[in-house]
Amino acid sequence: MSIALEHAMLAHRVRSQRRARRLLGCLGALVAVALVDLMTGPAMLTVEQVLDALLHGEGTADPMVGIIVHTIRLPMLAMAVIVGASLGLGGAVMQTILGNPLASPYTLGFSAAAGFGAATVILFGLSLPFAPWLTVPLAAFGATAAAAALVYGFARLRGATAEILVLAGIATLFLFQSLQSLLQYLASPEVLQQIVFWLFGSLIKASWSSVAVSGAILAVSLLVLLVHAWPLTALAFGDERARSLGIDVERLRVSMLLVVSLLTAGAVAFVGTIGFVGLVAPHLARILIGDDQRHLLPMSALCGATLMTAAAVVAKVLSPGSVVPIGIVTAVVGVPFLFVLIVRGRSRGE
Amino acid sequence: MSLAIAALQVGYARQVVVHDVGAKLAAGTVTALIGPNGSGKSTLLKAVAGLLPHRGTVTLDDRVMGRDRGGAIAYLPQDTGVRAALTVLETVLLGRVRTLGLRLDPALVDDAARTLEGLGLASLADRAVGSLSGGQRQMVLLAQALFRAPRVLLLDEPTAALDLRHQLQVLELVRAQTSARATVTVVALHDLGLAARHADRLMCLSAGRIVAEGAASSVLTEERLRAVYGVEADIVAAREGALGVIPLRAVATGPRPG
Ligand SMILES: Nc1ncnc2c1ncn2[C@@H]1O[C@H](COP(=O)(O)OP(=O)(O)O)[C@@H](O)[C@H]1O
Ligand SMILES: [Mg+2]
Repeated sequence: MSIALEHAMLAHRVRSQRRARRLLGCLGALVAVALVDLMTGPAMLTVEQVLDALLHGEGTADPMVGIIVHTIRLPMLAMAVIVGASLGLGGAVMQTILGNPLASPYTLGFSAAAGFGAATVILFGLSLPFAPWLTVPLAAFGATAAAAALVYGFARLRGATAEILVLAGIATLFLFQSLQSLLQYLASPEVLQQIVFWLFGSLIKASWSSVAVSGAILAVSLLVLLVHAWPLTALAFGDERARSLGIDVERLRVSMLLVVSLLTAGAVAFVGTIGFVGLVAPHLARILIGDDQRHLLPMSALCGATLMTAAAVVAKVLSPGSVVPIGIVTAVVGVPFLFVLIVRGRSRGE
Repeated sequence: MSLAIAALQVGYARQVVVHDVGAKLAAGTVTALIGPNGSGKSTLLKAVAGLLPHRGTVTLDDRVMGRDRGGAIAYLPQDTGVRAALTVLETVLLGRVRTLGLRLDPALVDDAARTLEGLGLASLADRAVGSLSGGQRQMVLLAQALFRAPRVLLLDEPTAALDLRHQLQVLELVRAQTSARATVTVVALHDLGLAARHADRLMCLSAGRIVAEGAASSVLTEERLRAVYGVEADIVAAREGALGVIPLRAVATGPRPG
């Protein structure tokens, strides 16, 4: 090996280590923000109290603390982490398969569809006899599946190019947004308030069962996506080149699209439409770690989870006692953040 | 071992662009595909690579290939746009995207690094592809194609953005690898002098049909350049048996501009 090559290989190793360090660093940040989240609320807790409650279950020195941490704050925290990770991951995949920095689970109308499904059952007061708590999530889920089928149908007819998918997605977005508005127009004031509250998104609806469902979807999706990490990376070279590398581009795009619709449904079904994390987290992750999907995918999930948890803390601090819809906070916190990212420019290729 | 193309016909939405092309290409040889802009060189190469639907057959070692060429054929596209934040080394590794795992095999990384070294690109290995010059990027994408070690290598104007020295280096390396690995190689080239010097055979395309093929001296004649390119040119013998093509003036009876 030449000296130049040895230098380059050394740089390659240093880069790999730097990426690993940044992944760990982001994980550390998530843990720290999560701790702050557990401490924050109407009753402020100290770090010791929280750690004590975490270590000893509900049999802590102060049983009240145990109950607050375990039955109220932990499920909400877990949900925030899962929802943030799902949206971050979904956004990263969306941006990759559409080759478009503006793409997110919002872009293709998946979130709007979920909102429409939820609004429908709320408006008509429908309820599943055996599991009422699953009614709204299942409706959101079903509507997301319908949106995915719509986009997929377009793709089957006209070929799954990025342009066709973006167009189909925007059409789907407008369709479901209009339907949503129609339902809101039809609703009585009380029902309207319920619908709007759902649409803004709130962690208050989190429970261990919803955490289990959304968490399982996240875990399976992450695995499937990681298996396709290299083909997804190759998409960055454009369809023709990826195809000439032996990748079935259209099939990859459509199957990844289905995974994203699943992730989105899992994220918003229980807590409502929370946007923005899916747009910002992948950008942040890309700046930190580059486009190699093996690292970008976990990093996007971590960034999403951290942003979401931080937004949850801010929401609690802003209005102790009442619950500010977290969807609003993520947007209000996220927009300036996105501006900073844009102004600083993209330092790519880390 | 060889690649046989028979009755190949390729078109886009309305018009047929490549008509009834047949050819037999031997392993270990480099064929230069020449012809004016729009004569169908890229279209022909893409069809052979399985990237465009076509009539007719592509046969490798007496086996007719299906739509999916099974990774046997590498096609290096003409344009070199890359929108990803990837390093040069990662870019080369993607040549074998079908075999890469989540954990990179160090031997594979080593192999990719050596491919870069072979093209004199070692010092770029850790650079972001997006930050390279057009010529450097073209070299890196060529490295990616070579790293695949394909049975059939199709290069679409691989020297378009390269300086003299790199043109020479690339074509010499392609030729050396072609005979070392018994690859079937086809290179679309605009520079007729380069084609004459670095290819074993020339294939001349005009308006989607092969109008001549064979050794450079038989394909590159003054009458043919006039008929195909619409150019009056001098063909001169240079040192070491090389041919020089000196265009003098365009003549009225040229082909339709492409
Ligand atoms: N994607 C396309 N859609 C329609 N026509 C095309 C497309 N690509 C190339 N063509 C047409 O096919 C002909 C051959 O093009 P091409 O194969 O790119 O020629 P060359 O590579 O020899 O310059 C040209 O007339 C060109 O306009
Ligand atoms: Mg061309």
